[in-house]
Order: sequence, then structure tokens, then C-alpha cells
Amino acid sequence: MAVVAGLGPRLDRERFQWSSLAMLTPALALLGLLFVFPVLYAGYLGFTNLALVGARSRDYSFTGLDNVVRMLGDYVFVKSAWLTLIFVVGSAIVGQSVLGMALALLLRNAVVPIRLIVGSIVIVAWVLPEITVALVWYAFSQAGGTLSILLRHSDTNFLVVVPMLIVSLANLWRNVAFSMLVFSAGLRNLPTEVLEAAEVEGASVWRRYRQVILPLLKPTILTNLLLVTILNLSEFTLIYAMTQGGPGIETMTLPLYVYQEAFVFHQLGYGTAISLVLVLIGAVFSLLFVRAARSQA
Amino acid sequence: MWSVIVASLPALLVACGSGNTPTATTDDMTGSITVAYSTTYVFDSDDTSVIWWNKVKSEFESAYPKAKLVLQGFNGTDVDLVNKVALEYKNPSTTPDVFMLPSGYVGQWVGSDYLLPLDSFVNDSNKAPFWSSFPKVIQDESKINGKVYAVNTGENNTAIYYNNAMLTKAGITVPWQPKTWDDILTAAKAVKASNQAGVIPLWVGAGTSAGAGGVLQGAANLVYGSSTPTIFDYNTKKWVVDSPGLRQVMDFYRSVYSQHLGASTSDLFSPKAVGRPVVLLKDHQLAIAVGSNWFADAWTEQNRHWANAAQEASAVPLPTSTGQAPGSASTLGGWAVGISKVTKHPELSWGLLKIMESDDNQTYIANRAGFVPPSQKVAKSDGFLSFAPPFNKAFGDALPNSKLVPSEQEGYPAWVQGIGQATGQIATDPNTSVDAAIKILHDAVANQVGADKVETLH
Repeated sequence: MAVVAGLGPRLDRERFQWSSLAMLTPALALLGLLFVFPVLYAGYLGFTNLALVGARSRDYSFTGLDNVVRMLGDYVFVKSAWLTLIFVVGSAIVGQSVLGMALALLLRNAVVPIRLIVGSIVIVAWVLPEITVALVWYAFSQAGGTLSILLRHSDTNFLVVVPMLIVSLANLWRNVAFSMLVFSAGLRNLPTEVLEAAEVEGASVWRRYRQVILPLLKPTILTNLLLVTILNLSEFTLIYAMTQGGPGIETMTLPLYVYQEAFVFHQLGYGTAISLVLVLIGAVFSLLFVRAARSQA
Repeated sequence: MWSVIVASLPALLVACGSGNTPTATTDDMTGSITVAYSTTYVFDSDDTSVIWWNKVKSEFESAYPKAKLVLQGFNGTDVDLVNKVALEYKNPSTTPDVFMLPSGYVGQWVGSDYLLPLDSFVNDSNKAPFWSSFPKVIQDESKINGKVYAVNTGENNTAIYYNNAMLTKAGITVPWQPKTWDDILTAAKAVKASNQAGVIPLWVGAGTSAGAGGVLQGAANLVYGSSTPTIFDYNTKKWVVDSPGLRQVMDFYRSVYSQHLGASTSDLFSPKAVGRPVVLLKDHQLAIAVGSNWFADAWTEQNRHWANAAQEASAVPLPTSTGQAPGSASTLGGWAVGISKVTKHPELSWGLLKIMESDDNQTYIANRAGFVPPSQKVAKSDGFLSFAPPFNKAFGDALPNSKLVPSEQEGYPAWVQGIGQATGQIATDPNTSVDAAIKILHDAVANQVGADKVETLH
């Protein structure tokens, strides 16, 4: 068949074909049904007094800003939000990213066998099921556990003395592989000419890192921050398996508090409202990272 | 081996059941009903859970040859069971006809208008031959606004277990019968002073990790044994968060943990804390424990076998704080069976309930799940008393002074959380003052149910 020039649509302009709508309909319908509707419905439930069982499981009503007002006066919520911030900033943003970067840089310069062995060990921690990690760290931090023996305080239960630090460390231990992998990939893709040029010019290691590698890696770093923030904000299994939010409410981060309100106290409406706050916090962080990435471009 | 037994059970039971000829009406009843229950939380071992439910199923299907029973077992804790089944009840098409639930949740299920009143069944001695042998406290357990909504299948209550040899070594005469809380502390101190290697003097549950079960077999018993034995004030409809009795309880905890008489936080706050004293007693690492009646069944051969439990350990009622009347105290909490309001087969559902409550099935579940059977006839029968001697008798004797916890009230999980946090704080830091512990309880409950729903008793 001969190709006739000039008869097709112009390829240099944006085109809209009405038939594409029909093609998109199934996907849009599924997204609407399985994503948009549940999110909006959850948004609505967050402003009701719905309960899991009891009279208000059937006769619940829209209660306006009651849940928000309650949240502001709820000392557990305030503490919980604060703990979540500590967990995400301390364990994820600072700990995981800094350690992940350090590992990626060190492994980049290491000889192949060491790189393989260390890399594998770090990744094994990441591959382990969360519940296993929780058990390992639970045993590690108990009185008579390895940590207490190493620190020569064998009667001290570190999960009770410094609970937030221990769950943060456990989380860091497990998730550092993720950041390490992201950074390693980023480092491998850096243009070698630039690095070599800097080296030839006599720039010190620190200077090369700060003024060449870091700026070039910025998109990777931001992507990593965005992902680890989102992943860690909703962390539940590890903390719940280790402490169930205790002792007292010392490790009650927002996802655990949502669970407690919704499924222990049966306050589905209030629990949903708290989970909306969690979504909001995630959205704010994401927005910050996306803006930072855009200013870079 | 279990599978062989399980597989042969239906045949056996059909053979056994042929003596009880089903009446013409049951013969003709058709339909399929579903029963929801916990596979992992009620029985001492999952094997026995399977055996009991298969026995019930085959008895049901031979009594109602044209009907079918669907077993819907759930894994996890009591909280998991209630949450999953609560979601099923949101829609009539997924609602199980029959539900075996912790008796404390019956009130909330009735609040949701989910359950069928059972008065017409329990008041008919042909339909409920077992009902007249239930003591009034158990008949009334699931009575709400004058109507019965569920029938109990077994109760748990609390007493003190102790190791005979450890107390003897500490200079305490056995059999030991403490008359006050001071007697308990004195014995625990004597055990500590006698330097028995690796022995924890006293277990009294603290902290939040064991949830409602931990409080039921721990702190709540002390509240009921205190000078103000009230958790929920039914007159004012408020939660009691401060009272002379609660202060006695906090002071008792302070004495235990400040003198290092209690277990470590590794044991107390373990996710397995509910069962820790069972293991510690069996392993000869614990002298005295405030514990539940099911411990004794957990030491039988099928479970954590402690062959000499009957010779080595004893059980006595938990005394009141200063020996005031009635002399002993315990919580009471059990499991009950209700029928859904939307069931299409109420008669068949009742038929299942009647089979679950037969003397034989009550005995089996009481022995394997660690219950005091609701029927006094079964509770006094050889099949129950001789199963785990001599402990079952002590708990049966403690039953008259046992009191229900107000778990049908909506704020109960918050009170559980509050008392767990307060006692847990004392176990963590015995320097915590009574005032500070009371404040933790007050704040946790008031924060959840509202400051206008808590009160101080004087």
C-alpha cells in the first residue's frame, strides 16, 4: 500500500480524538469505583460519629467539625502526631536517607566481593517480612537480650526505657536498603566526565561530594525522600508487633492510634478523621518535595 | 492422628446419636445456617477447637438431616473476631445466623439491633432444657432491657495459684489461704527473702499488651476486691476513675513492683502476657499468681503438659483488700451464643444452640477451653470436676462471689486501656505516685468517653 503524504493529521500539534474517551472509559470507571469513591466516602465518614458496633453503627449522623474539635483537645492525638513526626523525620528522612547515602557511597568505592557481601546483608534485612524484623528487634532489645548485654545493662528492657528510639532503629535497620538501592542507582548514572574533571582539577573528596555529586544527585535524593516519607508515615506492622503502641502511649504513632480508635474503641468516624489527618500530612510532605524537585528543573 | 479422630467422629456420633430419635418436625426442617466463632482464641489448642466444632456440626446435621451447618471460624484474638464479624453484620446477606461472641459484647450487638430476643426459647423447657440449671447471674448476663439476647457457653473467673514447695521453702504454711492483700504481699516477700533461684514471687498482670483479657484476669479483680468495688456506676452512668478502692489497687501495685516482687516488664508487656504465668508456673519460675481458671486446663496433657500440677500447685480464692465481706472477689467474663435478627431460620439456629448447650458439649468445651460451665449440673458433674483436679473446684467455689465487668458499656475498652496504662506505668517505674497513676487512668478514660462521663467515688 502506498503511503500518501499530507493526508493524515498534523503531527506537530496536540490532537484530541473523541474515540479515545471510549477507550478510557473502563479505566476511568474502575478508578472512580475503586479509588475516587472510597476516598470521598472516607472523607465523609471522617465527619460522622459512625461506630463499628452499638447504636451508632446504624444510626450515625454527620457531626460537622465535632471530630476536628475533639482532635484538638485530644492529648493522645497531639502526642501521637508528634511521635509520628519524630518517627518519619528521625527514622526515615534523616536516618534512612543519610545511612543509605553513606552505604551507597562506601559500597561504590569498595572492592567487588565486599560490595556484594555487604549489599546482600543490607538487602536481606529489607526482604525479611516485617513481622520477622519485629520479632528480631523485640528479642534484641529485651532485658537479657543482645543489646542489654552489649551495653552491660542486662536487667534493662530497652523497649520500655527508650521505646521510640528502638522502634525507630528497627525501622531504619529494615528500610535502609531501599534508600541505599535508590542512591546506588543514582550514583551509577552520574556522568563520569564531570567527576573526572573535578578530580583532575584537584578538588578534595569532600568538595567533590558536596559540590559535584550532591547537586547532580538532587533529583534522586528528592525522589527517595518522597518515597520513604510516604512509606514510613503509614508504618503500622513493625511498631504494632513490637509494642502495640506502648508502654502507655509512648510509641502510639498515628496509624496505631487510628487502629485503636477504629478497632479497639470502635469509633470508626473519629478513627477515619485521624486517618484523614495522616493523608493531609503525607500530602504536605509530598507537595514540598515535588516543589523542590520543580525548582531544581 | 487428630485427622483420623476427626474424620471418624461424624460416623461415631451418628451411631451414638441414633438413640435420640429426632422428632418429625426436626426431620423436616431444611435450610443452611452459618455459625461464626473464634478458632484460635477460645480453646486451649486449635486441635480441640476443630474437634468440638466438628462434633457440634455432625450432631446438628444428624438431628436435622435436611439441614446443613456452615462453620465459619476466625483466627486471631477476641478483638479480631468481633471486628471481622461486626463488618459481616453490616449486611444481612453476609450476616451469620449464629454468633459465639465474648459475652461482654452482647450489649453492643443489641445496641446495633442485630440480635433476636430469645425469651420464647429459654422460657420453654422443651426447647431449653439446660436453662433452669443456669444460676441467675449467668441467666441475666445477656439480659438487656428485660430480654435475653444470648446464652452463655462458659465462664472465666479468677483466683490465686501458688506453688506449694516454694511457699513451704519460704516458711509459709500450706495449704495457704490469704485473708487480705497484705497476706499476699507478706508471702511474696518471704519467697523473695528465701532466695530461690530464678523464682518470681508474684504475678499480677500490668500494662496494656494483654488487652481486655489481661485486665479481666488481672487488675479488674483487685478493683472488685477493693473497698470500692465499682468500675462503672450504673446509677449515674459514669466510669469510676478515682476512688479509695482504685487507690488501694494502685498502692498494691506499687508495693509489688517497688519491692521487686513482680515479674519483669519483658514478661508483663510481652504480646503473650496473657499466657506467661501459665508457662512460668509450669516451669517452676513463679511462686504465686493472680490468674484465670483456664490456666489449669492449659496444664492438661493436650496442652502445656504439667503432669504434677495437681500435686505441686494449689488454687485459692483471691481475698478482698482487708478481708471485708464477702471475703473473696473475682471478675466474671465468658462467651455467649446469639442468633441474628435477620436469620431466615430462627428455629434451626436455636436447634444448633441447644446442641451446643447439651451437657456433653458443655463439659467438653469447659474442659478444653478452660471454662466454668454455666450449668450448675455440669459444673458439679464428675466429667468436669475430675478433669483438672483440684483447681476446677476452687474456681467453681469462687463463682458466687464473681462479678461481671461492665463490658457491655461503650466506654469499657477505654477503661481497660486506662487501667492498663496506669498499672503498666507503675510496673515500669515503681516511684510513680498513686496520684500520678490515678491521673493516667482518669486522663485516658476522660479523653475517650468525655470528662462528663467519668466520676470520683469517695
